[in-house]
Amino acid sequence: MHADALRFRGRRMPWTPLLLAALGGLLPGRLAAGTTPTPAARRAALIRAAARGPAAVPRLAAALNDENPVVRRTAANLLASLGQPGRASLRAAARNSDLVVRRTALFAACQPLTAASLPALETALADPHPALRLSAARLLVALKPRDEAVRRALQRARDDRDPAVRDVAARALWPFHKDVVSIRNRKDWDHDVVVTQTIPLPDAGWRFALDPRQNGHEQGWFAPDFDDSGWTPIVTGKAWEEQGHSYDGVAWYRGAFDLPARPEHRAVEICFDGVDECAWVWINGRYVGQHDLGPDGWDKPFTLDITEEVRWGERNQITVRVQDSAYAGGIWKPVRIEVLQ
Amino acid sequence: MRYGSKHRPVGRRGNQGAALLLSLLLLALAERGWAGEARPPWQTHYTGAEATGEHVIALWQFQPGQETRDASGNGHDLTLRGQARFTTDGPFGGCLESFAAGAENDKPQGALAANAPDLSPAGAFTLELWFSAKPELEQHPNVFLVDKKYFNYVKAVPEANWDYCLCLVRTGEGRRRLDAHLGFGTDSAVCTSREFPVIPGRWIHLAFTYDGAGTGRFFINGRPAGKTILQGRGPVTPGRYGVVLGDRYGSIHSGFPGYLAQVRLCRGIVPTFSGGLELELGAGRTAFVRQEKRAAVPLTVSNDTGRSLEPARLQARLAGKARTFRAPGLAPGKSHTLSFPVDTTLRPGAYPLRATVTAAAGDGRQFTATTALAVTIAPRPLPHQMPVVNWGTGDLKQVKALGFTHQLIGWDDDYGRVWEAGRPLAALPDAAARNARLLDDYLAQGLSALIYLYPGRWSGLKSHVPRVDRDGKPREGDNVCVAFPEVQRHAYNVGASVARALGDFPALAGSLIHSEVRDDTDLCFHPHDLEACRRATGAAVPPEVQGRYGVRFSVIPDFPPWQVVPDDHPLLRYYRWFWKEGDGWNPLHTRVHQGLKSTGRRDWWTFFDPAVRVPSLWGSGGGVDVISQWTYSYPDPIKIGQATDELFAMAAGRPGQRVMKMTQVIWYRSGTAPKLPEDEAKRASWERKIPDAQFITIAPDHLREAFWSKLSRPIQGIMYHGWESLTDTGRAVSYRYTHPQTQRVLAELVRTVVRPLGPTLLQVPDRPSDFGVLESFTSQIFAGRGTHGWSQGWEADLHLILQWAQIQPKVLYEETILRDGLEGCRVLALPFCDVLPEGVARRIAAFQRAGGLLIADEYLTPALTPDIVVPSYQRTGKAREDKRVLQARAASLRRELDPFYTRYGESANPDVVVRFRRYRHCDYLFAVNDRRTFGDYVGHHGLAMEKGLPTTAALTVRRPAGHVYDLVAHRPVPVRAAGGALRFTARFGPGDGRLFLIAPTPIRGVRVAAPARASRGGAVRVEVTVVDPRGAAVPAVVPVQVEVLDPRQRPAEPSGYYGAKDGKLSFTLDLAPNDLPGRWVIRARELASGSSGARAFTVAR
Repeated sequence: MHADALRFRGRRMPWTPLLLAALGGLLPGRLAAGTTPTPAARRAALIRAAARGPAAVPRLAAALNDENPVVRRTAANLLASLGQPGRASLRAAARNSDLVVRRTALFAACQPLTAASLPALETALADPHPALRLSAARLLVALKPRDEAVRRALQRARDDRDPAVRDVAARALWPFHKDVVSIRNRKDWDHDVVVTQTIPLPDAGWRFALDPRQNGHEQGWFAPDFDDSGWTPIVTGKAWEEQGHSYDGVAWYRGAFDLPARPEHRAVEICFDGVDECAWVWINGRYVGQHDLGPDGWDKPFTLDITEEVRWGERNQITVRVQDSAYAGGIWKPVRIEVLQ
Repeated sequence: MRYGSKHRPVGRRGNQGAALLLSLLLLALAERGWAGEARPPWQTHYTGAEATGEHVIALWQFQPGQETRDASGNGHDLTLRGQARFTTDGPFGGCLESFAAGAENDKPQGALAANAPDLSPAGAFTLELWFSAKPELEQHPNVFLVDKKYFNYVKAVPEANWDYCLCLVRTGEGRRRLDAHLGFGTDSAVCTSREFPVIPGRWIHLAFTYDGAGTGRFFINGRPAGKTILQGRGPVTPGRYGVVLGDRYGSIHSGFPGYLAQVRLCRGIVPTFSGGLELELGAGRTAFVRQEKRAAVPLTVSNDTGRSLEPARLQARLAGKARTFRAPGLAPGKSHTLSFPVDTTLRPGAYPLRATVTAAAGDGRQFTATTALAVTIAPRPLPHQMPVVNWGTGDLKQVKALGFTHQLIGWDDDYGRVWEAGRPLAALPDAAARNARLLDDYLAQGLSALIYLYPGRWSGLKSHVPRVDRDGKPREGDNVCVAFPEVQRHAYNVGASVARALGDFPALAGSLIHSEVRDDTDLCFHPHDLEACRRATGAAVPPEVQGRYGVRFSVIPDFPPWQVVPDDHPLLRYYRWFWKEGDGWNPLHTRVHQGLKSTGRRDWWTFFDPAVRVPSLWGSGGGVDVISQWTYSYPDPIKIGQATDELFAMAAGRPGQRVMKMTQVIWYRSGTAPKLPEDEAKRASWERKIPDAQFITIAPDHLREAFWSKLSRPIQGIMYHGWESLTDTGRAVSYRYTHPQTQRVLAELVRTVVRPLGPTLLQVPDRPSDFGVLESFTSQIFAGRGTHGWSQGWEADLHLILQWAQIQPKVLYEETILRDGLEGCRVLALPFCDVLPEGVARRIAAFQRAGGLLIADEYLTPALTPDIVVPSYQRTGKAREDKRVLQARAASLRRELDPFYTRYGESANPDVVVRFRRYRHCDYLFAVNDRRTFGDYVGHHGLAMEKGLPTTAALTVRRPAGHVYDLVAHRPVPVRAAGGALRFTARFGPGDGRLFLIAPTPIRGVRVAAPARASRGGAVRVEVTVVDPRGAAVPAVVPVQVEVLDPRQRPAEPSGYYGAKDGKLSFTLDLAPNDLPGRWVIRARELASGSSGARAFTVAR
């Protein structure tokens, strides 16, 4: 639903006069003759004016700078509800001192959300308040088509100083995805699947690095020959918090495992008993899939097909990018490889 | 003189019934001595054939030098366990001393004989022993005297259903019963003795006989002490456990703290324990409510003489009236039950019933048996008494002394039988027998019982109906798929079976149905689940659905940037269905409720808790009468008000559903005092005594403040959980008793507030609030928001901010807005409302356009513009700092809101929170003192300010006129009227609350009207009116205390507290045939201004 629809439909509610009467009568600060109108009276007057339609725009626009924040916001909200004429006035409020007014202006500028909205979004991305930058980032993600200008704006947002803003942008720019269907769940696979061999991955020997800016992939952290000697040793099977990393965000694990000579098999899968919360996995530098359910994924086992990516009789390299939004994080349960027949 | 100085205790039902019962029991046992006859074998040290005869399977006599030896010669020698040892203090020399076990001492005690085939008798058997208890037995509700079964509860595995065990179960202070659990392979059953006194240091002989065909009998000191018939049962099933004397076979241990002597197991029924002519209480009641119809005590005559008896003559006497009955001739082994009618018009009290039966055998030999028992006539309950529920089980006397009116009882292990039957059982004789004496005792004590039923948690379901994942694999955990139609039927059948078995017991007031079952509920993908989903939502389970709490919008591609979703968004539809119906629990509660009501006990009330530990969606608890919620009071006790408001939001979905509120007496150590200070000098006294306590007692000032906070809402009852933390039970369980003052505070609050004012409060509705707080289900599903009933997190903290800002918020659900709109609302707060459904967003936008104010945080959906922003706050865990920040936000909110919104009432002191209820033109103003600091209980940890501080507040109510009365102090309050408002000052003690009645007219006095003369057995109509200066009834609900005193100044049945609605109260005094003639007095005192009136009348002979 568009915000316009919200703001316009049902405007003439039968009980509106009652509330307006209440505003004039019951609320404190009723306008007295010869005195400065109280904030309540000023607000009530704006509401009455807006009920008469676009003619109220100049008065509402002036009220965007009212000394009382409730009056200012009422004016912004009413302008937004008056359609195009009101929204046009709101554009000037993109640098209003009041965050709520600026946010209302931003969303008005994105009504509809088109390429024409981009300047307002870029302005908002530079706003001092992270909440507005976050709104702008979300709108950017929704902006279609995602042309080069939008991508550049998103890349800027990915470098934002606020992690929530970074997260929204990074997720939108994330280039890796593979649809994952285990052979065990393939509806077209009409044979029993039997696990003929299980190869546990070692808990120890992993290296670990935080990626608060979420750009490790751009630095090739998943490449087999990436030099991770500067990374911190870590073990799997327990959360990273238990190992001294009090951190929520993106972090990477790199490890290695040896495989025996190639057995008979139809498929090979890597099985994670639990990664808190989301995971993206590479084997020998090749992307094999993700476990991306949001926070609910923290205790859910998952498997990824790695039939084509593993090398039998050799040492294999594995990289796991993990994102955790709250509480404990990391590869906190065992990992194993299963050979399926 | 204050009226109260002569006031009798409000609990009108004294303990005379219990005392009489105990003395009668002792008398009955004493009467059955063996004076004048040869000592029976069991009174002797077994030797010869009694020790080594063919029928003897094992005999342990613990004699010096041969302590461990099986004296039967069958080789069942013993090995000591734990601290157990042998002494020579037994009645015949040697004995085995055993010790208690428990949660903190879960070690084997007693002595073990290895398993052997002959220890599992193939048919009838007799188990007998002597025991002497240590004083600490009183602290252990259930101990094992002999165990070869291991499981004294239901477990649907074969190894839980072998052989036998004998438990000593506490039924009251100094009183016990015996439970013999018998395993029959696939299930078990229990035989139960009558209750008997257990005096520490006194040796008691007991014997249990089982005939191998369903009849179990108990003998205490050689006399019959109860019989249970297990229909259709055969011999016990041989098992693999050894025999343990003085403890349970395995963990969790339940050692007997005391001594055992001469323990013997024999094949067959030892003739000494085959009985004679017996007269005992049958399956029925001994306690009745006054004026109850068809009251009768069943007396059962049993012929265990081995001879045929001629028709018997039974004489019984109660309250001076004797009756004679004739019982038919009885063949050997047969019984006959006679009903002794009880005159319930008698004055309430305990009356001895003595009965003697005489019968002759064909050879002319006469047999006689006598019994004596106490019959109780309990007063009828007064109207509008507020339940004070012990959410647990404690000693009746203690429970009553603390002011509780109700507590929980269990339903033992009958779920399996109902499941197997697949229908309501016509009767559950075991359940009735087990509970009959208990429920009689409740009634005699003036208490009510609430039976805790949990058919959906019955362990037997696990193997039948586990939840499954999308692949059909069973899920781990105990939360089974209760949506199975057969489970739903089972739930009804359980309710109906209980109604049939216990429906005649007036002391049973209702039922707790399941508890804490939604926390670990889960998605399920049986075909019936998928079909139900399709039927309800019109679609399959959306593929994004992975967990029960929703899907974050941040991972949903192309989620609307305005964060408003269609009302019928597939995920929203799915989760609405799942939380309302889909997981099966709410319908299941309804089914138990319906079963319980199936026999017509409409006065029973059912309840479910914690009812708001779910997303904010109507329906939690299903069709139960009452929903409740648990709340821990730390760090800020007024959070209990927040949880209560959530309950009302939930109940709004089911008109007529009532709300009660529970305060947790326990405090999590982790939330209040997690780390023991290393420096012992810095530890609180309880930390020095019980350093490893897992749960501690709520601080008394917190309990007091939380009490007032919840009472200021129109709740219908209050509850407390954590008996072991409230009282010193001496039990070493995880709940520890660490603050003795708390129970005193609770007792005082019940005595001074709940009892006198409860009948008034139950009739005073809430004052409608014009300030809503939306708890958005949609935001919970798409953004992981919600308090889930824990009163933690930003939504709850915003509610606290509103309370500190002197605002009376009303929690709204999205469904409330969709159904009722925002009519009557002037301000709407929207904490964590990231995502809203279109219909709700539209109504809110319209509300705002019409002048309504929106208060929100930085997360509000961009589709709405807040008028006032209250930035969210993440608590630091430092109680003082967090309260300071939240109160600062409250002050800031007030400043921003003041130009636009006028409060009806407020306190000038931000630490005093006000709230109103209203009846017609009367306000009931609650003011709660939240001024606190760190004390010496848990304060040194910095997590909770547990010590209340006294304070004063100037209170303002924006009504131009009114007369103010302090309902707790029962006096008028000086008040100043100016500028259209009333102003007065109130003082508060630590954690204290005050309740003021503000009435449009003053109270002048009390008028009592009654006839001048009456006669015994007649009815006296009494009218009490609280009047204003014109003599008109005061248009308020006024608390009134009534005393109806006989010539000896004893209170009669209608004495107690009332709420006089519209200033008027009328009741009928039904004079008893045994009431005293002479001058009676009716006194009535209204508890607002303290004025009183009286009326005397004469009762003729």
